[in-house]
Amino acid sequence: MHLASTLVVALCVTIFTFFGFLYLNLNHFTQEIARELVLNVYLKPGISEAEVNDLKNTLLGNPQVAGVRYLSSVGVLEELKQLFQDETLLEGVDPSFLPPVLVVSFKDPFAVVKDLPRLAAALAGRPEVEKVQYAKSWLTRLSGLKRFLELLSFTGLFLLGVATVLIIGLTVRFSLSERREELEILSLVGATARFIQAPLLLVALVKGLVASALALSAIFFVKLYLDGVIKGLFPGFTSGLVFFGRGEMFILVTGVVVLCLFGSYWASRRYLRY
Amino acid sequence: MSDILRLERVSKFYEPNIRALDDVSFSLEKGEFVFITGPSGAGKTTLLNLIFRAERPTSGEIFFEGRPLSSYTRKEIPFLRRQISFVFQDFKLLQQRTVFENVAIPLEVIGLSDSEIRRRVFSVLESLGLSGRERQPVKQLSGGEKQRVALARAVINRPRLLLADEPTGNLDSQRTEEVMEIFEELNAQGTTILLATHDEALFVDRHRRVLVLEEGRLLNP
Repeated sequence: MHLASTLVVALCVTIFTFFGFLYLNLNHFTQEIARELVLNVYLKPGISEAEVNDLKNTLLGNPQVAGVRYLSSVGVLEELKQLFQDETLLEGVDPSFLPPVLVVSFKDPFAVVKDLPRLAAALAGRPEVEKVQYAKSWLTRLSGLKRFLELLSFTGLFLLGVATVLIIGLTVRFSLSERREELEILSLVGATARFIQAPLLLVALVKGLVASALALSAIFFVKLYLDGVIKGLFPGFTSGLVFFGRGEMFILVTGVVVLCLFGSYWASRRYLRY
Repeated sequence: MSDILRLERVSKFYEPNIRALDDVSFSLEKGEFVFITGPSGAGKTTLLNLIFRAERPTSGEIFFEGRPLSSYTRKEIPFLRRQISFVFQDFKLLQQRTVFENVAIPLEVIGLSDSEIRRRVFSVLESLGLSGRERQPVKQLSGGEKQRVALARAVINRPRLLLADEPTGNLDSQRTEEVMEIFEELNAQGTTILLATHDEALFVDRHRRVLVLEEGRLLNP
């Protein structure tokens, strides 16, 4: 009975954790994609190094900016060659007609979506700037997708969480119902609640730990498998899947243990005839 | 002799309008052996449950050694039950466990050593004619033997008051007589006993005080 109830709890927690794992990686995926989006500040030809540095420092002073990269005209030509993957296409092209550019990346592109038009307008107004460009519509759509995924994930996690709590509670109650007579008799012959419930709570603690360990292990193996499948599949998404951090794992294990303890305490209390 | 138990105008009503006990008052002196009789449904079991604090009266008060039972908190009830033991009509034994294990329970909960538990259990089993049955699972015993095991468990930690609810209800006449002899012996050793039964044969010719319950009322307080 202990093994069966532990496995049931582990299964519930695994399903819940998998959903959390999906949310974690969907969020990570969209963040990674968004980081590829940059603000291109095209500079006027003949701009001096001092002006470039001044503009660079101004941009770096913005707390939302992760980095600013300067590309000279020659650098732009080199990037184009890499982009086309065919040097012969741009053979003989004079780089002097290509404008130098400051490539601005952001720490959290989703957080700056709303501020980007204002920032772009302010930069475009500067005398040393020719033009400012960014993938506005794509970032807006990606931001909308991220919000939708968050809402979907939170709703799913909440519903799954409620189901998990109920199932764990019922499983614990069911596993204790076998010992109902024993618990009642102990309470009738002078055993204190602590004497009766302490061993039950210890078992519940162990069950919670084992169940959450099984769940996390299962999800980890799923992650390892999916890493091999997904890596490099999407452009801009070169890192593997992320797994839960120590804090998140601690919260999960603690939550499951508390649920098992709570369920065991209330289920056994019903059988005590005080 | 001082009162070990005193009931003052105790009533118990169940929803919607079931009157289990109505204005019951009586007292029990230390060392007494008292019978409570009455037809089925008279309130005998309810009365014992109230004394055992398995239920609370709707009104009135029960005093055990001068302290009102209503003053006992949930945490104190186990300690009360170490002083008031109960022999149940359905025995309430753990069928899958042995005679020894069942009888030892009240000693385990008070934290006695294994050696002391062994000594006391063997002593009580011998006094109740159960020597040699220690390792036998309770489910293999006869009704009379089960009742003796229940008695052994009830008296092993030397309670001040012993309650018994139809202890011979499931027994034949020979076993009934044996069990009653054991009760008499326990009383002779100083245990106060309150025994509920509908069987007049148990108390006739025994020269014990008999309280008569009828429809929740005590006819002779």
